[in-house]
Amino acid sequence: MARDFISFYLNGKPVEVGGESVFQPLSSYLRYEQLKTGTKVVCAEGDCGACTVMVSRGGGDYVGVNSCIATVFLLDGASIVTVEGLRERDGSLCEIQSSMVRNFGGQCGFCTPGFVMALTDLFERKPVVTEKQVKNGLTGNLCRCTGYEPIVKAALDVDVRKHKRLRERYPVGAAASVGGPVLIESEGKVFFGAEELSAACQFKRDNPGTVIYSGATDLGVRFNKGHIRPTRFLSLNAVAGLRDCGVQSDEFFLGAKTSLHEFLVLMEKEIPQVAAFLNIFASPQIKNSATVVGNLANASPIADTTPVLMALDAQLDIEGVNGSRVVALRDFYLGYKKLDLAADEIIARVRFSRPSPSAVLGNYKVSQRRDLDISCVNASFHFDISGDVISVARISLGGVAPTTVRLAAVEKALAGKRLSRELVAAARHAIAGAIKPISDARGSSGFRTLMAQNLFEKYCAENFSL
Amino acid sequence: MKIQHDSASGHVSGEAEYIDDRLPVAGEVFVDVFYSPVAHARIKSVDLSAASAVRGVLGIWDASALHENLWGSIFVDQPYLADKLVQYAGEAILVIAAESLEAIHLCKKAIRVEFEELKPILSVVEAIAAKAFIGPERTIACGDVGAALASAPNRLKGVIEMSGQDHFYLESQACIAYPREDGQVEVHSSSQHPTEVQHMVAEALGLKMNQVVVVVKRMGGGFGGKESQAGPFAVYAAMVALQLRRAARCVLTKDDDMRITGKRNPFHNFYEVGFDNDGRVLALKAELFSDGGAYADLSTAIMERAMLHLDNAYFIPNFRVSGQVCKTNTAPNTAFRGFGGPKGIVTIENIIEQIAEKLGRDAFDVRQLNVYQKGQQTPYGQEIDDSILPELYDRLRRSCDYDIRLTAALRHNASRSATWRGLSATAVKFGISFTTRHLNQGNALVNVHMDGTVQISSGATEMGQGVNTKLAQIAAEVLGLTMDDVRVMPTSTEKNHNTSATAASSGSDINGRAVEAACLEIRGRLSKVAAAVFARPVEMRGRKVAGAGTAPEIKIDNMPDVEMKFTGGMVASLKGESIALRDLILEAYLNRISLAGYGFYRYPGIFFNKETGQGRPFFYYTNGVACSEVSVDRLTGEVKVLRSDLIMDLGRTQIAGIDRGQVTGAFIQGMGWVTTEQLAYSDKGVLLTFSPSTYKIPNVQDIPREFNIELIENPLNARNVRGSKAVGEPPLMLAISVWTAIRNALFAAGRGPIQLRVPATQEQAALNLFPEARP
Repeated sequence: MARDFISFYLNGKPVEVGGESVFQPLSSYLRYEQLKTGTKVVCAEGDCGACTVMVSRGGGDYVGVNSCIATVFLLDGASIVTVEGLRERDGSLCEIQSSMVRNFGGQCGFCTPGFVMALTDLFERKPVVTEKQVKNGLTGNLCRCTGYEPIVKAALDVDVRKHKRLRERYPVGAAASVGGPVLIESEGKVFFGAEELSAACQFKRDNPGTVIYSGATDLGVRFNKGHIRPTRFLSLNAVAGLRDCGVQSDEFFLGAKTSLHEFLVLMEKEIPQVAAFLNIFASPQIKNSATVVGNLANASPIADTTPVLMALDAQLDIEGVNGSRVVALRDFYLGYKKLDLAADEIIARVRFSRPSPSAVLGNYKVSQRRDLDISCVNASFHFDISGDVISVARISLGGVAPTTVRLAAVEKALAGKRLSRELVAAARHAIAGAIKPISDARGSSGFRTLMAQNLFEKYCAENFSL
Repeated sequence: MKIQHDSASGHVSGEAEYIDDRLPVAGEVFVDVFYSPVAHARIKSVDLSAASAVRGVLGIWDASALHENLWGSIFVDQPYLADKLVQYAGEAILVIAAESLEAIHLCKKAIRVEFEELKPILSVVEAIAAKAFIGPERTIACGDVGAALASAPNRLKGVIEMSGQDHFYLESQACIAYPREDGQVEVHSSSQHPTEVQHMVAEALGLKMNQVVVVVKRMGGGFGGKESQAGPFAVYAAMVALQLRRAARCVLTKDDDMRITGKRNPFHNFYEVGFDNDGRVLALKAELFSDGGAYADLSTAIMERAMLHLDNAYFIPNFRVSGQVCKTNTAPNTAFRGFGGPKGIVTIENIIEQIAEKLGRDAFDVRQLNVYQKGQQTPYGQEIDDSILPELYDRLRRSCDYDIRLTAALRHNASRSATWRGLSATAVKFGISFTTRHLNQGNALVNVHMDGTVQISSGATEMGQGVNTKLAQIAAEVLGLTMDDVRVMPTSTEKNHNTSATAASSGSDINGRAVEAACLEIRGRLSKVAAAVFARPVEMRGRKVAGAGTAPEIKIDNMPDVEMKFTGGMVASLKGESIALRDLILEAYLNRISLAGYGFYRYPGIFFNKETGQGRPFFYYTNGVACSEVSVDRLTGEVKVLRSDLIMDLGRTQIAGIDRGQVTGAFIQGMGWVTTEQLAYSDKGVLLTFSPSTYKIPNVQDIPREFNIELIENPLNARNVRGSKAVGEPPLMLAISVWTAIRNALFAAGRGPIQLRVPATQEQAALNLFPEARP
């Protein structure tokens, strides 16, 4: 018998929620049902961080997430701490809060609770922080008043001897799930929290239009903006094994629930070129929630992990009611947001081989703002070099077509050729001929073509001094 | 005690209350607007049958529900609710009230409006061609421009275009209206201008101003966007509150806020400049055109300030500028930090760069050659009497190692590096005062309670800039109290009447002086009471005898002024007698002496004739200089700000943490305007960049890698309150140095004539490096 409610801890107190309440954004639940109005909502799309709260799952560390795009049903078994939970037991401000006060870290104050939470996330992971870490830790928060300088100062002025980690104050062990599948129905909507992948596939087959909610970092946005109103919701949070990620005999595997953060940690150890790229997109809050597979399944032509994985020749393990199959990522996209995925099928994991020692990887993105901005164009280049001859060339581009693409014709023309300035010039020409980007708010068609060419030239200049 | 922002604890704990944090009262309803999806159209029909039937919808109203449908801060031309004709995409047509936000969502989807689309005007250029203008053309002139241009050894002509900028205050427009008895309404609004909200609500609903109370506790950011444009939402909420007799909450989503409300005006400025072979500007002729959007709002006043700042820090003997606001089918543009200032200043700073490029001189030298010297006159006839700009430029040149870094940048650009370097300095000379004379007034109420604590109320609204902290500090200083005993109360029209917007950087100046006057009035009375108390034996003090009535009451009406020292909670006579202020206050109360003060202030000695373009519009100037260095990627055009050095003259800084925060905040906001904040519209005039996923304000990673700020003491500014200077807007314009530095880097690339707009986005930069890819 499935549970018809979810349970979690909120600032140390157990809460059970069922019915209509589980289908709303966590921020709405906190503000309007729990009257915890310290959590602010500004953009409702995970871009400004004002709604950041700390969440621990399965006994893991507390990490910051955007509560505006996290649907309540995803919090089953979690432990949540909001800004209201930060004061010390005696009612005084905690050290991070005090430092923000001392350093004039708030002006209008509307973004401030979100910044305090983002700093809490930062100090939860690292006992002492550098200016660079502070800036990386705050990329998910927007402030319009301070110019950030006072906030960075406040972060560097935190007296770590006075700082207590949240996991010492709000034990994470207490938040273990009560277990079993969850089935909640309300006003024509159904949420199924599966424990077995087979049950999930069956639910998906039996309920056409089912949407899998993972990090919800895009679905949550589309819901908030009124673009989608799904009625069948499926979560794989409680399915065993899907969080696993790692490397086995030179093959990397990322389970469907591997977050961008977990992917980053793995790449930092194994493929630093990929890690460096993962660092410049998606805020900490988004990385903590969003999954790699979700980024692929969302099928945006400007998704940032797609070109990287496509150039790595990644494969998808797909599970269905009648068994499993493998699809190459480059063949997975049939058209704009159209996938090679049947009604009962679910992506279980993504796999790719370790690049050869002679491989040279280059990952780039062009966007209006350097950090935390949706790409105008993104690109992944991957040459295997022997001597000065290109043995294998892989070029994957986003933002230039309805899907992320591999430029097969250009790759073929490059394979077996000697690296030279003439070859770069010819390839530039071929790239322009192979793509036909559109113009939109993020860039004109001409600019996108120019960038696709110039990023290729940049890759060659940086790696082969051409 | 170290001073902190008066709401700091509330900010960091999430306890500071904003409009949408107010707990709902029983029966409270949600209010929203249905707005036009098209830029210019006749409304052919409206069908509400399905929308009205949505469960939870309590009412849908059109313009006929309002007593008066037109408003405007300067020209009364804008409908609260479009009726028959819509003039921009985002213009409100209907007001909806419902029990839930989901009901509002469904209701909006069910509303059927049929439009007959008309051809929209979507740019300044199109408006000029169609002669679609708002208000008259204005001119400011001095000298003989025609003759000076004709005889100048060098001339150049050009045009600079600048886009708008969304305010992106974090708290979107928000208000709650509560119906009160006798047709009264109490409105809590996120507004910089409670008096105007009160006025608009009263007029639109057919009420008297004394039936409307508007309260502003704080805003989650304003930046000018809540100066005039908070009003309509208060009208919608108040209308619903009175119609339904229920509290009504209108809180916009960020997306709707960005679509509905106006922005910084785009400008399109034509110029011709004459200069000598050293780079000395001899004559400037300019025509400024701004995009006012569909309605006048504050655009004519913004244009006036743009014209008054076209000279910026530079003496131009022969000068003629004209300014004309254009009418287009976009959201009515409005005040934004700096008002017209940035649009005038970026124009002249760009001209100086061009002069330097043409003469092959360094732009810093050209600036120092032209900078205002004491005693020179502006084109509008105001004498520069406290200018320290030449000194600021000298100091900056030294402190930022300009000459060494210039050499290094030139060397860098000659190498095979992956980037181009650009280095540039600019100045700001920002006139302080509203250019409309009657707005330069303010009043304050100070109540002293019998326990010795003080409450202050003034027309100033708190939007994060720290005005409350500054007012509290003034009161604490005058009365010799600690900041702990002074509290600044929510701004309310029932305590302070006929107030001006907290705008033009003048909030702390005008209201600070009014608070000071009120506190001085109280201090004067308390001093007399102290003199009388000191003259009596202790056992005759009111504290001991007032209840019994055994001692005569202290009377101060005919007493001459006496001098007492108020410090550290004590009041002392020159002879050394003293009493705790708390005790003295109680004595005053027990002897029936008023413990309230009312202060009034107006900037003295200012006047400006808008028709002749001459006068002394500014009480004083806030000055500053900045030097920025950028790198531009040679292949992608990606810009990084490597270093910015700022020097500002803020007179006598009152609270360094607050003033510094204004400087860093304004600078980064200005940097957004000149770099990444690109508004994009469809070819039908519909805004495409209506949320932070497409509209990019600066992020923490965008701030200069090295950011040096120096606030210098300038004791010469005795005329303003406590010797301070206004700080809210001026530093924004120092960010123009980032834009000129980008121009400088692109010039170094040497790829032909530079075509650079504001903002200089990565795309703009890349297309200057690869002109062959231009559309």
